[in-house]
Amino acid sequence: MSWFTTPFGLLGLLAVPAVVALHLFRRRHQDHAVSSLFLWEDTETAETAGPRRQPLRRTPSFWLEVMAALLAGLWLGGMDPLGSSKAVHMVVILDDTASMAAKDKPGASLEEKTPHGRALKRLDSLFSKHGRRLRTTLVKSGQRPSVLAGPGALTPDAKQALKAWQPESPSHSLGPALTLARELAAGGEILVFTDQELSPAADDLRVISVGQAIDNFALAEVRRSRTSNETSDMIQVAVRGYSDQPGSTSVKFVAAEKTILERKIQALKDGERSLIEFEVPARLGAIEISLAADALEIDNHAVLHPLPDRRVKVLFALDGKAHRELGLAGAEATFGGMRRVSSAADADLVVAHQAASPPAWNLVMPKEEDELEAFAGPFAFERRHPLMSGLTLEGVIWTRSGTFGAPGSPLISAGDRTLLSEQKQAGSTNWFLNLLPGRSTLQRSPDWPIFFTNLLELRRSRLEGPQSVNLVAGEAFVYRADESAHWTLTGKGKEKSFRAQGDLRLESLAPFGFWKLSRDGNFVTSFAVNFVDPAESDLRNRGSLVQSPGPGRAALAESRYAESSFGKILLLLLLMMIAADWWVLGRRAA
Amino acid sequence: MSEVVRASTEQDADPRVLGQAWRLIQETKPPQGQAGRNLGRASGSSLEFQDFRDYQMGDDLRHVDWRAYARTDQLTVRLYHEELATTLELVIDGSASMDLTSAKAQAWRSLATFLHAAAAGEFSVKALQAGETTQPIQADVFQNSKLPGVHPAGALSLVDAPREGMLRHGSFRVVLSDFLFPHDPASLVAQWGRGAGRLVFIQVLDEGESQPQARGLLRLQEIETGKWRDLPVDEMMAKRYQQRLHRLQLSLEEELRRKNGLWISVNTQSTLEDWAHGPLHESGLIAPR
Repeated sequence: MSWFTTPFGLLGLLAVPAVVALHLFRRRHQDHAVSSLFLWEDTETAETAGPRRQPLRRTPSFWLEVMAALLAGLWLGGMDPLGSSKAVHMVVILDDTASMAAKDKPGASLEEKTPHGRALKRLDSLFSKHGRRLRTTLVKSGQRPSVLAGPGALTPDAKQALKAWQPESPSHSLGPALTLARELAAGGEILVFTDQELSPAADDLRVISVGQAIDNFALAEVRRSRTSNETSDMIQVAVRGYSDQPGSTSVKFVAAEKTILERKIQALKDGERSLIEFEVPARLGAIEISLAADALEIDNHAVLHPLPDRRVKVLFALDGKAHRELGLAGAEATFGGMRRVSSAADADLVVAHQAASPPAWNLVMPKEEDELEAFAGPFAFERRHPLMSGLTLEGVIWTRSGTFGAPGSPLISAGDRTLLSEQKQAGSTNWFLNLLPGRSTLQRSPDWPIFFTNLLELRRSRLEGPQSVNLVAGEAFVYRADESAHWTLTGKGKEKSFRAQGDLRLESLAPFGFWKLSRDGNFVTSFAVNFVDPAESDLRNRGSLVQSPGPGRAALAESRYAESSFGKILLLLLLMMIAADWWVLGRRAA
Repeated sequence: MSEVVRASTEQDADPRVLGQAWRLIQETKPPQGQAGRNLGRASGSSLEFQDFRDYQMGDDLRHVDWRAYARTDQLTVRLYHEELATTLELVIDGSASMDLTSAKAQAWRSLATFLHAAAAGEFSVKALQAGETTQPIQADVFQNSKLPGVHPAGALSLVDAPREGMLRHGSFRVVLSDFLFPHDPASLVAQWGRGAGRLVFIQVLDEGESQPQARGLLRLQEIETGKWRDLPVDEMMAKRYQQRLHRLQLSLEEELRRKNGLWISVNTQSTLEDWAHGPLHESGLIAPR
């Protein structure tokens, strides 16, 4: 049992020996009345030595100063023998979802008319109510909850941490935060600040809902995709109206500081969706999309970044007969997402009878020859491999060369004969497809375009660069890379630097908006993260309600929070000592 | 010359009783303007011959007995009875420093009572307290050696104390003070000696004022103005103070001698009877009755 709620404050007791030392070593001038000073005034007053220890004079001032230092130390230490033996530990879960920043009316400041502001105000009153005995742990909710302050932070530290709290996460469950909070609370009560009216709370939960039902419009979908002609992008934006009554808003598209489209959207209600689609040139830069101001600001803005060229460059180097039989002449139109090149040095994928050297990846096939083996099934294949996705090989006649070598791991086989194998090398992968198309039916079956598309996608997934440049809330940014590098990410005043080996993966980026990525100091790409989260945009089900724990728990919490007035008495005595010392010294000087 | 019996407990002896055993002596130049009614025992310039004595430097050459010089080849002056002032003006410094310590307060009160008693019979005594306002002290106050009702509490020194209209021409003027204030000796003597038949400054000091001891760190506070100064009072500093005090006393004594006045300094280390037998008698201010 401790009488002190702030044991570190007891360091203030060091002031007691300090006061004694000051009295021991300070120059004390004994008062002495004289008729006149003029006979003393031009006497030499220089002293040759510093302060020396002198007998301690136990003057009223000395005792008052010692008492003041003692009281200050006890007060700073939070001495409270009349109160509870433990400091009160308040564990708070802060709902970090973006809807906590929804304004009750357009233009209201964040602190005044938002769930976030109301939560801060309630917390502030709790800090005042529980006084200096309070220790606070703030848990910020999220898919990965984090401890904003604490565990057991002092009130000033908790208040400081709260200043940095700006809710803007996409929707998520409070479950992980609750699990973490329960571990930290160790059986104590947990306060939950949210804008949702949660279902009846558990025994250890006091849910304080600070939300308010309000209408809102939101960008529900934002998409930019390359059209099949590869020269234009399709822009698709959906606006939803989350209101019980029909309402209107407007949406504006801006590129290179010029408005390229502005639409008025009317009579949206009950989550209805209004879709806007149009094409823009593929070379057009970033497009900023904005809705008219309403309750939630974060879902009114989005950016669609221009798409990088992620087509796979393919060199077809089969002989003319095999090329024709496989129908590769119109492969670009058939498969899409690829571009034919004429040099192995430029190719991402080479389809040939001989494997090219890395970094090209190869699909190697045999030439026509006399030693043949034909199979009508059954075929065994590695279904979990991405190349096999969607393949059935039903009704396929597969003829292979008896002399073609297929090193590596078998992916498709007939009996003990390997028909397709995969060989991984440093920086590249080779597939050996033992297929003689002139004597097989695979290239005419539905499995062939599936296989070739899988091949292109697999290769594309391993191309260096970003997998996507227009992300939505909660989506991870992935940059495919082989080498170790020092990365720098900048966006909206934030900058993060880190070193990564191979692929770069960044989860749940915030704030939303435009980001730039540099590798070893050189710019490599930019991308956008947009807040698109219907669950957060729909504010109609928000409310304000306090769900208290059971009566027993509530009473226990209140009694534990009680603080005696002993600290105030100590403070009052301290002030009295200081005032008395002031008075004594003043009288002496007079 | 009368015998003086010294009291056994001098400090407690009644100054009035003690004063009655002594009388004040005038032996200065004759008063100007106001002729005295009595013939003094000191020599002066009246027409009534008293005695001869050897010439001394400074004697009035008109009083040299040239006939005697012709006879004896020695310069002899003729002494005449002095015309004496009949009023003793007892001026008491009214600044607060006079009551710095109880010993000092008792000392100057005893001395004033003593002088008042010594003057009785031969002088009419007029006592004044010089301060912010210079006021007369009633004669009956001196019936009690504690001088009830006389409390120096002013901040003005004798340099600044008003004097106009309060001093009588030709009087025997005795000024009681500690003289511990910044002043120009010549000006001070001139101020208080103007019109006086005889001027006597009696300095009364506390023991700590005349012989300060090394007492370590002191906050010296001027009792009249409240000004203070922190000083390490060691032996060297006390010695320097005494040297400066001595120079001050010498300068006043010199100036008074030049004006035919008298300088006497007493301190609380000695008793009133010691002062009477010592500096007061030896300086010629008093003589046994």
